[in-house]
Amino acid sequence: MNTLNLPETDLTNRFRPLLNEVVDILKKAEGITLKISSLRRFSRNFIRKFIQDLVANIDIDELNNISETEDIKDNIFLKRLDGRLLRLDSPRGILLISTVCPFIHFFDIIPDNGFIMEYEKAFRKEGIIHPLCIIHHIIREELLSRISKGPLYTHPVLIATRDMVKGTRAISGEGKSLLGMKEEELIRLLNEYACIFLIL
Amino acid sequence: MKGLSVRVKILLTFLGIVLIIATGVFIYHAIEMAEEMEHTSLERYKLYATSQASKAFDLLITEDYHVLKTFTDEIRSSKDVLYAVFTDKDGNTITHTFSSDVPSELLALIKEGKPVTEEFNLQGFKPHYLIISPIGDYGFLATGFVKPSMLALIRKEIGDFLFVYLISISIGIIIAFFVSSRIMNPLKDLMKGMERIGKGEIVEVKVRSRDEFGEIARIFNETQQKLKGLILTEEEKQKMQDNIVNFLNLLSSASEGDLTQRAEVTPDIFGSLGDAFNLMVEGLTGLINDVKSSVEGVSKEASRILNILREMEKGAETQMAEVKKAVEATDEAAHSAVTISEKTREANEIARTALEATSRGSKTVLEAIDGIQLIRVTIQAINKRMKYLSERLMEIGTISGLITEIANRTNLLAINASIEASRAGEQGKGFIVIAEEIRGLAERAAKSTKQIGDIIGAIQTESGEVTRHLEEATTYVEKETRIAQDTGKVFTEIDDIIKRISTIISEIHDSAEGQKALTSKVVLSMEEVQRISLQVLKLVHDFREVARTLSGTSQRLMGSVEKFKIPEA
Repeated sequence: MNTLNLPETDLTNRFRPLLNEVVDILKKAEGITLKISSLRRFSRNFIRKFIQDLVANIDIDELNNISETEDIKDNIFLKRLDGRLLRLDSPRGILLISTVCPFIHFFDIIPDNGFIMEYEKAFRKEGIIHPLCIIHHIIREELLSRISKGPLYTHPVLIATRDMVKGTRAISGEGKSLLGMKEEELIRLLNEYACIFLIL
Repeated sequence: MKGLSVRVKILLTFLGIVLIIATGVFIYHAIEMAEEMEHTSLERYKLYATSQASKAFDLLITEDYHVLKTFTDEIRSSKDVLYAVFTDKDGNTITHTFSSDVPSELLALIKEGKPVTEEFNLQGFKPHYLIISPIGDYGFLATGFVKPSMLALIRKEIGDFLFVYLISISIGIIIAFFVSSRIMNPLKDLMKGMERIGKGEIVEVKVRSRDEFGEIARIFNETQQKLKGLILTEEEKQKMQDNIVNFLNLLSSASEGDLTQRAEVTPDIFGSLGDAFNLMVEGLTGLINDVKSSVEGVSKEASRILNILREMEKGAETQMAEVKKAVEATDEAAHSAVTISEKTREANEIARTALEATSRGSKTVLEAIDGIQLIRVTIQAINKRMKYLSERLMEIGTISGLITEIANRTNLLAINASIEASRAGEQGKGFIVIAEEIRGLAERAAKSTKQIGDIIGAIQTESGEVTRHLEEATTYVEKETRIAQDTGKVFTEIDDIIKRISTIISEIHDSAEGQKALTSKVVLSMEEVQRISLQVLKLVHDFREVARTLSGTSQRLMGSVEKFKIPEA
C-alpha cells in the first residue's frame, strides 16, 4: 500500500510480494560479498521473469511502435520499471535521471543494518543509499543489455542516488570522475530527482 | 551623417559628450540631493516629534487628556503629519487622530519601542515614516510623517539644475566650435594643397602648428620635394602599370590557389619581384605537396585508428558482456557454494542421526542375540528336563508294569484263595469275602496301572513331540542367532560406512566453506574486473571520439589543400 504519497511504478507493485525473500537473503547470507552476490542473483531472476511476463502480456500495438530509432528513455521496459526518465546528453555519454524511485516505499521495511558501510568498504564503491539500490541497478543492467541498439550505450553506471523521503544522498566518486561533472552540479540535479545514472 | 561637414560632426560629438556628462552629473546630483533631502526630512521630523513629545510631558503628568486631545489634533494639522497617537508607558492609547481605533500593528510597534521605522505600511496610508518618541517614563508619542517622493524630489532638482544644464551646453558648444576651428584650418590647407597636386602643381602647405596636423603638413611638403625627382615619363608609367597589372594577376591567381603560373623574370625591379614570387610559389608548392602527403598519411592513419578503435570497442563491449556473464556465473557459483554448504550441513546432521540409529540398531541386535542365546540355553535346559522326565516316565512305566503283574498275581492268588476258602466251607466264607475284596482291589489296581500306562504313554508321546519341537526350536534359535550375529556385523559395517560418509560429508562441507570464502574473493575480484572493463570501455569510447574528430579534421584539411592547383611532378 502506498503510504508515502509518492508515485509507484509497475516494478513497485511486482516487487512488493517478494519483499520477504529479500529480507531472508539479507538475514541468511554470511558477509557482505555473499549478500551482494545473492541480491544480484535474486534481481536477475526477478527481472527475467518480469520481462517474460511483460513480453507475454504486452500490447501488440505498443510492441509494433518500438522503432529502430527509439530512444533509451522511451523504451517501454525501462519506462514501466523506472517511471519517467529525463535524458541529458553529456560529452561522456547519456545521462538518465529517474524522477521516481520504485523502491522508496520499501526503504523502511528492509533495514540497512550497516549494509551500506560494509558495501562501500568491501566493494570500494559509493553512490547507493539503500540495499534495494543494488537490486534496482542490476535490474537496469539486465534490461539495458536487452535493448537492441547495437553494441553501444548498454552499460549503466550509477552516479548518485537520493532518498526522496529523508533527503539523504550518495554520490559515486568513480561515477563522478567518469562523467566529468562537478559535485555541485550533480547535487543540484539530484535535489530534484531520485537517482542519476550514466549509459555507456 | 555622411553629408555633414567635419566641423558639424565635431560640434555634434562635443554636444553629445556634454549632454551625456551633464545628464550623468544631473542624475548623480539628483540622487544625492534626494537622499540628502530624505535624510534631512527624517531628521527634521525626529526633531519635531521630540519637541512635541516634550510639550506633551506636562499634559500627560497632569492627565489633562482633554487638552492633550486638542494638542494631538494640532500636531495632526501640521504639514507632513499623517497621524499622531499618545499612549501611556504600557502602550495603551490615550488619544489619537485615527477615525476609528488605532491599528494593532502600530500599537505593537509602540510597545516594542523601536524609535524610527523608515518604511511603515499601514492600511489607508502610503508607505511613510513612523517616529515613536518617549515622553519621559510616562508614555509615547507615535507620529506618522509623509515620506518624500523620489520623483517629486527629482522634479524639483530638474528646475534647479536647468540653468546649470543650459550654461554647460552653451559652454560645450563654444569649446566645440573653437576646437573644430583649430582642427579644420590645417585640414583645409592640406585639402587645398592636395587639390593643386591633383592638378599637377607642386605646392607648399603652410605649417601652422607643431601638433600632428603641423607634422602632416611638414611631411606633405617633404614628400612633394622627394616626388619631384621620381616623376616618370608616360611610357615608363605605362610599362610600370602593365607590370603591376601582370603581377597583380599572378598574385590573384596564386591567392585563388593556382600555383602553376610563374612570373617573367626581367632585369628591372619587377624582375626581382617576379623572381621572389617564383621562389615563393616554388616553396609553397613544395610545402603544399608535403602537407598533402602528410594529410593523406594522417587521414589514412586516422581511418586505421578508427577501424582499430571500432574493433577495440567491439572487443571492449564483448569483454564487458563476458565479464557480466562471469559476474553472473560467480554469483551462481557463490549460490551453489552456499547451497552445498547448507546441504552438507544437513547431510552431516542426517549422517549423525543415522549413526545414532545404527548404533541403537547394533545395540538392539546384540540384545536380541543375548535374548536368543538365553532362549537357546533355556530350550536346552527344557530339553534336558524333558529327557529326564521321559526317563522318569519310563521308570514309572516299568513300576506300573510291575504293579500290574503284582495285581494280576494278587488277583490269581485271590481266586485261588477264594477256591480254597470255598473248600473250607463255612470257615472259609469270611476268607472268601476277603479274597473277593483282594481280587477286586487287584483288578482295580490292574485297571489303574493300565490307565497310568496309557497316561504315561500319552505323556511320552507328547514329550517326544515337545522334544522334537524343542530340537526344531533349537535349530531355529541357532539359525536366528547366526542371522542376528550377521545383522550385528551388518550394523557394524553400516556404522563404519556412515562414519566414512560422515567424514566425507565433513570434508565436502569444509571444501564448500572454503569454496564459499574463495567465491567471496572472486566476487570482489570480478567487481574489480568489471570496474576496469568499464573504464577501458569508456577510454576506448573517448579515444574513438578523438580519432573521429582527427579523421574529420584531416579530411577538412585535405579539402583545403586540394583547392591548390600545383604543377604536376
